[in-house]
Amino acid sequence: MNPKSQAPALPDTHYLDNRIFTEEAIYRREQSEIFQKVWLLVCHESEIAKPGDFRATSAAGKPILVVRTPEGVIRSFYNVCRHRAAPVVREESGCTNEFQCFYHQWTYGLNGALTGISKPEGYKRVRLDKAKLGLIPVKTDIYAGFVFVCLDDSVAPLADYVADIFAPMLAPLGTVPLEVFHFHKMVIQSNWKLWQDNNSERYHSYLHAINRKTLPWVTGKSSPMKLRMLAHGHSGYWSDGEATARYDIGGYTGLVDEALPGLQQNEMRVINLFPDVMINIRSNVVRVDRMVPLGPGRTLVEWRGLGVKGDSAEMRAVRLRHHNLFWGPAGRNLAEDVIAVEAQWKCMEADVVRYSILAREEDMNPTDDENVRAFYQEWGRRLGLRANAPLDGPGREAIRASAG
Amino acid sequence: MQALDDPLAELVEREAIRELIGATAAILDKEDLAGWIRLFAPESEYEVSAYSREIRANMSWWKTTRPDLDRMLDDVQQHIRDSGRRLHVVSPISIAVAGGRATAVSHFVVLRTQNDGETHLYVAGRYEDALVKKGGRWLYAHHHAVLETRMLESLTHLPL
Repeated sequence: MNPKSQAPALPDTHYLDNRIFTEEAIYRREQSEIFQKVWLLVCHESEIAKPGDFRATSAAGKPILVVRTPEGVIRSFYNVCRHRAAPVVREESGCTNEFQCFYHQWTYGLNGALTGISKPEGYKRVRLDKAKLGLIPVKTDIYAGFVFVCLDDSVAPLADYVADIFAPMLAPLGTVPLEVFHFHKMVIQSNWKLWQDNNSERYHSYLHAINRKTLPWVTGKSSPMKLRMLAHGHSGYWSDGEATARYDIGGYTGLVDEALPGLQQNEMRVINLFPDVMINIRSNVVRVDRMVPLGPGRTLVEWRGLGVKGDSAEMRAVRLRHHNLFWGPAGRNLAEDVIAVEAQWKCMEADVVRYSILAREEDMNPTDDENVRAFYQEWGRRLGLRANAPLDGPGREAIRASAG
Repeated sequence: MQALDDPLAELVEREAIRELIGATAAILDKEDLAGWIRLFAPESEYEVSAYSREIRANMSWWKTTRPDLDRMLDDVQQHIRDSGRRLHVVSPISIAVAGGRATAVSHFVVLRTQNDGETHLYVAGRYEDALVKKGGRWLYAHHHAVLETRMLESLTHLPL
């Protein structure tokens, strides 16, 4: 038998068919069955701090406009004019009193209502009803300062979806006001799930020269941090109050002053929200990853760094230095992660090694694979597929249907 | 900044700074990081920044004082890193000299050639530099790459 088509002798949950990362039809089914149905993080509330502030972004392939109304409420709409479907906003962000489509200058209020039509007399005979032509709203909610949207109006409340996984993060994220001080993005040539895997499994910490030096649990047999599996495919890892980083033994000093509330100076906590978000807090700084799948092998990743609003210049410099050392565009760790998942996807596309092994069992130490297995259980449940055999059984028909 | 009284002397200093800027590019292209760091004064800083249209703020992507910079660059060989080769194209557009200090602004682009031989434009921006003359040599007091590019095709362990 060709070795590539021979499944490993492991439980079904302990390996993946790598075609889930490369097949166009599976990507399309993920869009319809996951991304168009779950709550998706789009930004942090500090990005639209004042009335009239807006952010243009996308979710599940749809253009989205997020705005803070004069009443201070955050709302979202599809960023598409009701006249001829041009984008109403073309900037990434801004502050305005109204939105005017650049094409034929239809105008909308911050609450989405259509307030003005250029040359309105032309519509008199057909009695065009402005009241029915507002921007199309998108379900929006906020949790721990993060703005989420969902394209499915029937979705359960956001809190039902994320409250449990956010619980260990509420003290650092919700005690003092935070703000985004760093934003960068990149289109990685890889599947979005490989980035989420990279953010979830800690076995790859061996990849990072700095982690090998500063995180004793990477090379040690156990860690004070344990994996935590929550409902909906969310997971995380954190200790119960023990420090988990030792920058000092790696020779790095002055990075972790003024830890965020509820954290020790060298403590880290990480949560991975299904399907596409990681929030990683190390002592005094927060990193947030948001993924926007663009195709089976292309993913826009947005990285945000958060610190305390009103920081002194000196304290902001400390957080910035800490953040950038690992996670900035010149960060020592982030570049290594991107190289890894891009090279991995390229080999997966070649379909030489058909299966990935997720078989580590280590009593919930961070290098256990249990959280990744839980992710793919949820992924399979939502898609009606088995991640280890997506093209077998009933899944095959579903995939064919998605492929049209 | 008050210019030098002697126009010829000023021209000589400006040419020396122009040579420093050109040498910086050539040294980085060779990945001679030890040579690059010797272009900095002891109390100096290296910075890479870009303006984010998303959060409407300047972002510092890399801001490191000389001691930290030494440390980071010593570790470069330990990292798994981009194997693309880089070529800096730099054009000084203004240099102002006043005594033992100077400022300079240069436009630059970096081209990146992948292992398969394909070359892409990697970044575009300008250097906004503050310089100081020490021991008869011009050195960077603050070497600042201000990027127009906000999305890299490959993240970087190397200075730009």
